[in-house]
Amino acid sequence: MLATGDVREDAVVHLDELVPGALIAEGGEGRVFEVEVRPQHGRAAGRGVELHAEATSLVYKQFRDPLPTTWLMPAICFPFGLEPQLAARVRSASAWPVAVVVGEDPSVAQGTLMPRAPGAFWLQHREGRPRLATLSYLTSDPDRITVAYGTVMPAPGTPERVGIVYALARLLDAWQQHGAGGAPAPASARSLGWGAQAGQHPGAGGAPAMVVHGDLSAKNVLWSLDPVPAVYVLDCDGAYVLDCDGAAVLAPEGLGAGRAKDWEHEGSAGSGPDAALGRSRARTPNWDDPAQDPCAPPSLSADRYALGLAFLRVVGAAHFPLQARQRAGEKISIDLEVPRSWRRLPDMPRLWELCERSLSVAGAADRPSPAEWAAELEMLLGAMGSAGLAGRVRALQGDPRPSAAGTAGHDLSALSTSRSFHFAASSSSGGSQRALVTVPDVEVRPLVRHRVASSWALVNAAGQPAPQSAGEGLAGIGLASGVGLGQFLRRVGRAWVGAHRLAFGLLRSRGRRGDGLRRLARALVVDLAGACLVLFLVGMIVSPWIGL
Amino acid sequence: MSTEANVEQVGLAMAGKMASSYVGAQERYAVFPFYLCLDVSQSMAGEPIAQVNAELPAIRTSVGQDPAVAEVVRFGIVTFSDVARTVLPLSDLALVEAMPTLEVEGRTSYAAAFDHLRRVIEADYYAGRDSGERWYRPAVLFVSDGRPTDPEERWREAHRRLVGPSWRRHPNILAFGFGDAVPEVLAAVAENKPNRAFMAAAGSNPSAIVPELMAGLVQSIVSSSASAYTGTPQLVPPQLPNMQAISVDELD
Repeated sequence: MLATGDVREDAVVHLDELVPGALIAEGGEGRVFEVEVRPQHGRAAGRGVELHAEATSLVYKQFRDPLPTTWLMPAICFPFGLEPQLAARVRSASAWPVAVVVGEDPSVAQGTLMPRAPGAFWLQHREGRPRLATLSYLTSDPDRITVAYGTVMPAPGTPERVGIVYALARLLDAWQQHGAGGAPAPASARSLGWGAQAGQHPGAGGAPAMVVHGDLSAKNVLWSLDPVPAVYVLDCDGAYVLDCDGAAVLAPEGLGAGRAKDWEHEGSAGSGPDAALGRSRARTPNWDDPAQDPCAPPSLSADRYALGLAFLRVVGAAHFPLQARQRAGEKISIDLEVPRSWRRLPDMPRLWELCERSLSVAGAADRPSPAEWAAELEMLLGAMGSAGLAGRVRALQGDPRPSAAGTAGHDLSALSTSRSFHFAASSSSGGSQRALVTVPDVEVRPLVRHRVASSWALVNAAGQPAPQSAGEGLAGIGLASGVGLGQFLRRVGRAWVGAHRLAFGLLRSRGRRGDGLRRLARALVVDLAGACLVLFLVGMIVSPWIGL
Repeated sequence: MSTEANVEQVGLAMAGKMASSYVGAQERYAVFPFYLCLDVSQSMAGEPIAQVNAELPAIRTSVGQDPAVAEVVRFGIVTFSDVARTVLPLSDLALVEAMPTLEVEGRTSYAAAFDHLRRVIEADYYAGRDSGERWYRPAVLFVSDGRPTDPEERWREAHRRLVGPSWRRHPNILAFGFGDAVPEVLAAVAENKPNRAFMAAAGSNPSAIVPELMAGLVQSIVSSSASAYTGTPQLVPPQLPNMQAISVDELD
């Protein structure tokens, strides 16, 4: 990790060495071009550029407002401070900027060079040009995506989806690990002389650092299943580098209008992290952390929130728009539909605990680290019979080590078992006894499609006791198999209670009120018929006594 | 603005209701319905209608082929001349195979357009609600190249029925005009609200008007869809000088 003012010569490319190509994208931050690098004047291509010799191509991101070169250096140099396997993980799973592009003035960066997303992260629709395979494809109904675009998405809850979140968790782990034995800074580093400020930041001795992306969202995270689940995170040139105390080493500017003017007025030599701090980067509204102050640079917990949200949305294949409710201070209860095959998995209460802690606003400081997520997802993949898949994900990332289990994790024995998939057990486990001090503001419950009255419905595991024989409708209960009257009445009673609970639950659920009303109407018709039958029977029994 | 006060009231009411709500796994974003209400009178014959037909597939590609935009936008096309008809029912553009080809018809009855929109929006709203969709306030993109041929009182009455606040699903209207369209009429169609009516600049190249307008509509739809992911969706007008976004509220 370099001192803030250091500029690596081999991470600087001059504008005249670039051969511009087609415009790929244009946005608020600037424009992205295909580009070829032609070293001139005998200059080496740059170690960072050479590292991507096998990459398909590089792209040049031209900033709308130029920035000081020194502001981008910590982010660009971050992988060089990691041990080789972690660096390989970072470079394989993210479009980490390899060089700064400068013009006449080497202290002003016109843009950055980044690797282009590899071909595996592009999707071809039925028609039209190839598009980036963003998480947007995975966070909605897979059947709709197939019908609309002709591309087949994995079903919700499949190991492939878990594998994608696992790959993302491992990338975030590489970003948020510190003290991971970083390599010493290259000898070619030279300081621009920060003076008194240099002492505040990690020196040139390879001190550890962490990175906050700050804008993890469906548009910035690409995915691939060819050949194994993998992720590729874009927009890493705006990442914030932190030292091991979590303080921003240098927060690069949010690339919006007007901010570049600040450092121009202050003078480039005088600008530093104090001027840099307090700038905000544009964040995607449905992926940002409600606990985060919008004016402050994002912290590690913002990326951790995004990871929890990615698990929910990718594995659950649904939108889960939570932020507006969380900002309103509401307690959130999430029913995550999981496949019926998950019922055969062993109890995994810790998984739901991780989800709840990740999404919690009140407990934002206690969000689990990506290492905890990676370890838990490894166990989940193992339980699903996809341990080999997890190994292949790690191998593709260039770092086949399994994740360290439960670093700074909670005492598992203190956690509740009420998050079980097995409904027979869940009905008896009662309420949750949490080891956490704070009152949880997010609750995640797995749901499985279950048969209720000969039709399928989503059933809340805590609210719906499973019938003795799954798959039987009301019409199929008991009599033909010689079940006793008491047991039959108990079954009928449970089915009656369950149908009413489901109807009221759906009535309270936004977007499913129509369904709830229909169910309630049916239930009331059954109630009325039952009441008439009971009255009739009572009348039949009582009438001789009262002389009718 | 009263719209902002309504947004606050609606927001608070919903927060109160949702304090103990059961969030289903199928929870989805609310959708932003857009209705393109297009004049297909005789004056559109020739190049204008051909350009519209050439640009409609671009709307489908830009909106429908981007999954992040398509999932929160619903798009429908209503044409009007002597009568109004729905040539594309309000749909998820990702699921639309091809855009219709429009043809020129007769005169220019604004009343027919407004009455038809009134019926269509109401029916589509209930159809959406039955299928579990929540709506933001619909937007009507009204495009005309001529003055209304029906009596003024008739189309103003129909317009009042469409935009009157007593009807809960009343849409926000953006009005665009070129050719013989009358700026005052367009402003009245857009309820005389600022930055909602647009007229092609005098002296602009006639061949460029329609393509630029359609590109601007796409941009408006895509920008508005991005805002639909926030808690405060906005109808974003096309990028023109002195433009500002209009806050919209969510329907119950």
